[in-house]
Amino acid sequence: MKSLLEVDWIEDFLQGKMLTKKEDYCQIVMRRQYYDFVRYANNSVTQSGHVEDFSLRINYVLDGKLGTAAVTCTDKQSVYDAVRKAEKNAEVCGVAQPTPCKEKQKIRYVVERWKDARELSNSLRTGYVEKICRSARKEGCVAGGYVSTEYAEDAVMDSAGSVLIHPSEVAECKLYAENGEQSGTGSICRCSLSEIDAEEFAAQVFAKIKKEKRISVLPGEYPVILLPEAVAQMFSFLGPYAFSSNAVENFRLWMDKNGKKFPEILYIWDDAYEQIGMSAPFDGEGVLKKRVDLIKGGELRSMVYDTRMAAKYGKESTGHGSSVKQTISPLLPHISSNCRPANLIMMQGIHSIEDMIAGMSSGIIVTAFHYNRLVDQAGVVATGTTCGGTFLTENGKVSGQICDMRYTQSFLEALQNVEDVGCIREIHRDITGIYTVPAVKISSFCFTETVRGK
Amino acid sequence: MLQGLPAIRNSEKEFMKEIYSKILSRALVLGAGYADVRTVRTRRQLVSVVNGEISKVDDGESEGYNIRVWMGGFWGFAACCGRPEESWENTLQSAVDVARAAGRLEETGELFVPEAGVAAVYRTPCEIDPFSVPVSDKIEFLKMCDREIGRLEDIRQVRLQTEAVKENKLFVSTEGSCIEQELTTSGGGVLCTAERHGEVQSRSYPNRLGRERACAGWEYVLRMNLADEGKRVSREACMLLHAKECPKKKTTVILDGSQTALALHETCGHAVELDRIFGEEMAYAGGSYLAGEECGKYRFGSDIVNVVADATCPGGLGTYGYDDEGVKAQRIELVKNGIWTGVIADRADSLKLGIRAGGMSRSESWSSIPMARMTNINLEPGEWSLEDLIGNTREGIYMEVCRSLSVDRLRLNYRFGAEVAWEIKEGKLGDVLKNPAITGTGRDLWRSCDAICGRKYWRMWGTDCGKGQPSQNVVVGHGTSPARFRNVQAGTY
Repeated sequence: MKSLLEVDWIEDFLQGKMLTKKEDYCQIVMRRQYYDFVRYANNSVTQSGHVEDFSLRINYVLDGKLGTAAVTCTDKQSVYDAVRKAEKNAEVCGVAQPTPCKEKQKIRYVVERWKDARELSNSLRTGYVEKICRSARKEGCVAGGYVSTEYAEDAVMDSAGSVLIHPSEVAECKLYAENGEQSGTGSICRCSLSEIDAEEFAAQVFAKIKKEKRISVLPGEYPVILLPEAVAQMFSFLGPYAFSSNAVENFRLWMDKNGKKFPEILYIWDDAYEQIGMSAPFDGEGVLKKRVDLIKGGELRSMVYDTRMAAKYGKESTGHGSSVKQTISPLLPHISSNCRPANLIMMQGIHSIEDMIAGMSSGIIVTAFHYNRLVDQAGVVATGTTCGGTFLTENGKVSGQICDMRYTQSFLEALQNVEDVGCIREIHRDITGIYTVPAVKISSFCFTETVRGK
Repeated sequence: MLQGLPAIRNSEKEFMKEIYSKILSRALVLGAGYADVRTVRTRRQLVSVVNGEISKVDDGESEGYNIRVWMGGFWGFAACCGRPEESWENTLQSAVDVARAAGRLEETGELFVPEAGVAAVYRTPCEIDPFSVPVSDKIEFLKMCDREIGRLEDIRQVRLQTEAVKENKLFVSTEGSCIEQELTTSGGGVLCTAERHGEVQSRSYPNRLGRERACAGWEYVLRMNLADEGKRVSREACMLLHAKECPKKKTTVILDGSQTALALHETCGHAVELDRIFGEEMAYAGGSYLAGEECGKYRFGSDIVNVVADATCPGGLGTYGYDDEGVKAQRIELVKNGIWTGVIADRADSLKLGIRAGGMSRSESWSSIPMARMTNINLEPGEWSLEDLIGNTREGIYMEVCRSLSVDRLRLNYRFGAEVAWEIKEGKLGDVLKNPAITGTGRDLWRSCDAICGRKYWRMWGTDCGKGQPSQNVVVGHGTSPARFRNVQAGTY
């Protein structure tokens, strides 16, 4: 497989020869990805596929106005034509955009390729599914989910001579299982599928599923332990609505009303370098990502910025101009920058989940949430239901699985009410980003209804 | 084999005809019992103006193709961006490898409902091609609307936008089909946000987040009357800052067309998807509270509830000529006089239920596998006028435009928030209510439906719909008019 940089027009482009005027600025953003997946349901394979995708976006800045264009091929004429189209778009319908400082942009940052995930055979992926399904049958469960591997290469280059290129690999296993009475879910994400033990992963999920009937619990405010997958889901809302400078424009008034105090135990930051194999250390605007402390020492320390928001608020871009849709096929190369932290990490604590349960007289344990939707942006209030194993704890012990519950809760208030942080972190990924998070214990979480069954 | 291909006219297409013939022939040689190739080119454009300034001009295109092969009872699917001329052999081999790997688990022997090959060309109606309108004209149009809307004291943000999508598809199969389609959609809307003393309230037109699309051209946007409607929702956003909270009580609720569409989508459309009923989507999107054997017997709603899946409905966002498995678009009854009668299914699941394929298998793009998806899921109109319906309601709440939505894994328990509501007292609209929401089960909701407004109030609504892993987003339509529901739990979000 050729590198994204093995194109015959690269030197012309890097030397600014595709520009109409030397004062102009032009950037090319490329992504290529290979995605393989196997879906299963009812203990059998239902769908599997292989997808190869590529996108190339041109950003042309003319007199402070950004115009964009895209092509799906890399021959010189097509790229040249796209550059002209982007220039014309900047002229007639450009969006105000600060021109990057060209001196600062002169970066050469090329990471060697990782092991080629394409070598991973379909049989190996299917084999993982086979092991999970076999375990499910043995446990008397019906299982569904998927196993996927993704190899992607991101590159950004500009007319000032900068070149950034980074390959990434992500393997994921997801499993949802039930036995007619109870359910369990799990998710695991690593750089390589070889780092995932399918049987061990499945066993952890099946351990949540017992044969007893689920207990029904009255709605109300309960102390909760959110397991890492639920914490990651919570952060997928906090990222854009609390930790992004975009949130300021989108009426993030909660902070002003309720202060910026958080428990000292919380330390949350965004750092692509700690998830380096899985995502690029630069953003879709070609800015190297900075580590940003978000909550530390009991306070909201900072937010993440892309170039537009940084210019507006007199800051430097932290390298967080990304596009959510840019990472899943079909790649849509013209989607605007969507400023958000995409590599959120939370410091682990010292207590195991068992320790946290032992320290809780009564409460609820949430494995994951389902169909979460924001109901109030200003307070980051979301609603959804629990799923994949919700448990009641009494007198420091798990007393059994309960029916799923609907919650309606401000995630910012939930963060303020964190009492303890688990000692083991898990990596979870969705289309919004990658989250390295432990379980958390929260003093009060609002459940508004019990989910009724068939 | 490809008797449909004469529908492809010019020399480039003649060249493509050879390529497609080669792919399908080779697939059969490699052992496929069936194969199809689908090429899709999609152009999407979004233009938005926020507070009178250009905020976004996104104009992107994606082009690619996929090959599906049916081997040993399993599908093999492989997709590649670009055109197939140079890459098809690798892509076909990948599809075959995928099917063989899946097939080593267990051979099901299952196939899918067969279809006769068809040659067809289909285009959605479009008076003004949205891509023929210069972006600069669209920006000027939105800025003009913004100026007309003006700024009331508490308004902090006015966001106007237009969207256009054109999808060109070509589907060929070893059944002899060759189907060429061009689907053009256009839309737009306005979202006004007001703020006072830290409280934020938004109102949008015509639909949630100031978005609405239909199978139509730029003329659809011009007819939206964005400036006048923008003024109205701007006033309402400010009114909400002074409104009282929606009371928490069981009461009669009248939902406007867009809220009824949302309820229909989440608690009916998804619930009757056969893959959900079979548990095939349980791991992510979820299942259904309905059981297959209950179809034809189960009381879904009251006697006046009639629901159809109609992919032929003019202007509907879920309107097309043929689905992504080469089956002609159809009108299927889902609920008849309150009884659940039909399902949304792809060809393979249709065989399991012993029904003919309903032309409802769709995919987001060239890179995604077709699966059972909603088309236009429509609630048939009743007889009432909205004025009479409100006049006939002694006490209740009238709610407009979705603010938030959430449903459980079985599509039974819902919670729907609206942007705005009004008290109904003695048959008249009263005070404005903020943060309104309803909660309950879809079963109770539709069984309590006692009045539906007539054809005059019935219109198509458009929305996005997510499903599948990897997640696929397709557009669907819902034809609805305002409807009344009794004994519904109302409250605030």
